[in-house]
Amino acid sequence: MSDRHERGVLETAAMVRSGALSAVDAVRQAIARIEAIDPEISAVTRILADRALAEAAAVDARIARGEDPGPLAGVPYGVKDLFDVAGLPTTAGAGMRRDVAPADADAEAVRRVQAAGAVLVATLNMDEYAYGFVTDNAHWGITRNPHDRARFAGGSSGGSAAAVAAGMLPFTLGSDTNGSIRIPAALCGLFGLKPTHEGLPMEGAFPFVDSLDDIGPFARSAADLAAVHAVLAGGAAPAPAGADRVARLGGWFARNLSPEMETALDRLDQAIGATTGLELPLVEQARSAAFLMTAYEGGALHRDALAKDAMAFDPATRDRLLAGAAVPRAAYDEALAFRDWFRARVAALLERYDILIAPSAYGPAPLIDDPVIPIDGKPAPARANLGLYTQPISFIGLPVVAAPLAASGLPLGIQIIGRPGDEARLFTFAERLEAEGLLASSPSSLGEDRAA
Amino acid sequence: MADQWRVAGGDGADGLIGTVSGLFAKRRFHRPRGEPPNMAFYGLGRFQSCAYGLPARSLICMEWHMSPTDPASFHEGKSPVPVSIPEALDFPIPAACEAGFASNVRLLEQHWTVLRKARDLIASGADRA
Repeated sequence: MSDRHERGVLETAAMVRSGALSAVDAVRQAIARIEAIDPEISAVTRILADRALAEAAAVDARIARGEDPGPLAGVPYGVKDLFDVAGLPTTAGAGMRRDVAPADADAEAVRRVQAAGAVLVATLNMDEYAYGFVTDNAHWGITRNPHDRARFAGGSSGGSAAAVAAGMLPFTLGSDTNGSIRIPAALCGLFGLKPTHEGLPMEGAFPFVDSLDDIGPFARSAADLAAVHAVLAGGAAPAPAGADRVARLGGWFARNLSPEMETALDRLDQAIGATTGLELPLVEQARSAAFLMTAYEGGALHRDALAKDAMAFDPATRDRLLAGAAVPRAAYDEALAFRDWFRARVAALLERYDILIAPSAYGPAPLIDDPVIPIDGKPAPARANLGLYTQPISFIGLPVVAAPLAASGLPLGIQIIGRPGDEARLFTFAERLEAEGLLASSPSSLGEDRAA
Repeated sequence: MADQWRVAGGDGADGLIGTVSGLFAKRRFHRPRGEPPNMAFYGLGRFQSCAYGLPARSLICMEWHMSPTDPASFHEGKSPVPVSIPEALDFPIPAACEAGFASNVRLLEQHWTVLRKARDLIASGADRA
């Protein structure tokens, strides 16, 4: 049996279902862990103790009555601050939304995991309006990496990732527009899912860029990730038969990597026998197109609020949204047109390969006091540029399992990319590599010196 | 043209001339003679942004060719052209946002430049390299 802080989704649910652990105790342990640890990393924005204990008691009551409590019975979880939670303002990480009217109902994703027995315990920090890769929020603070508090947790779903990596919660929900699940999963050493675009319900999730937004879970194992996805998707697809044809992307995806990432990827190539050096066409253009689409749609979404009171925004988000609001429609249209071309070319490659592998980030988490990453030999702001390898993939809506490489030192993450709707294949592949010791989510040492 | 800016007034033929760098297009900016340049603007450097104190639909991105220490260098008898602005932004930019806004505009300009190469690369077959 795992240490209680390392207990995953399936293990917790099995213990609750068997009566070895009550849902109420699982929730109490999670809240105690959050209260002890979170002040060091600022992942949590609100602890929902009353709601959580009531939900947990309801799960325990179902079990006592002999009813099926669901596949996620009693599993504590949290949500990025952009999911509607009934009775709470949905802040989307924005200070100006602290006092908006409370949500009438839970987001559809929250409703689905609750129906499966999971218990909502906390809301979690993010970059304001999900525009950033670092979770440096002027209103709720910087979420620090549980593996090294001097470093970013990644973003924009940084609170969701840090909460799982710190052992506060077995799983969380986040959102990904350009890499906002995959980047923090990589920097915090977790599994995360960016589903096929529009594959999971967005109702009740505060939008950023409709053309690119998706929601997805974080967890510490591929099996846990698959279990949560199955609930969110309304069922699990059957695992595909036969061997996977795997290629590791080169070109754009092999440039600007840190030495430790290059070494780790080479080791992975050798272990799995992947075809190497496969190049996607015009990746740089794809990233730029995603950048422009994001700026245009994000700027348009927040244009009225910017005109009314730009100074109420987080400065880092505000200046980017203002620039986005000035992007001509022609730039957006050109990005959309190019997307059709790029999607068709990548689809052709995915007829030859079942799975593509690429780095999620250039290397380990950047330092908070030195928030840059090297691109073509020059320092570039981490907030805007950590998505170097993720943006071209979400640009065309492909599903990706973000996975942590088994390596010493700070976490390093990869993207396991598949065809639209092929999540089951990605989960099966990730579970196999995890079983072979090639992927692993290493627990952080946070709070080891204290009781929780 | 897709990247044209909308015309936003102008004060006649006699005035100060600067250069507006719209988001991806360069236009020239007309300012009435005798009106002092916005001094806050000087601190922003050679290519910066501002809400220039003009009414809504005002100037957004500018590249000044005058000396920041010599406003008189503004007085060159160039022919004025209509002020042009981004089509979408019709509200002033707060002074505190100017530098950050300008740097993000430049970043977006760079991305559109990269994206625009796609057409040529596809036409030339370079995408298959």
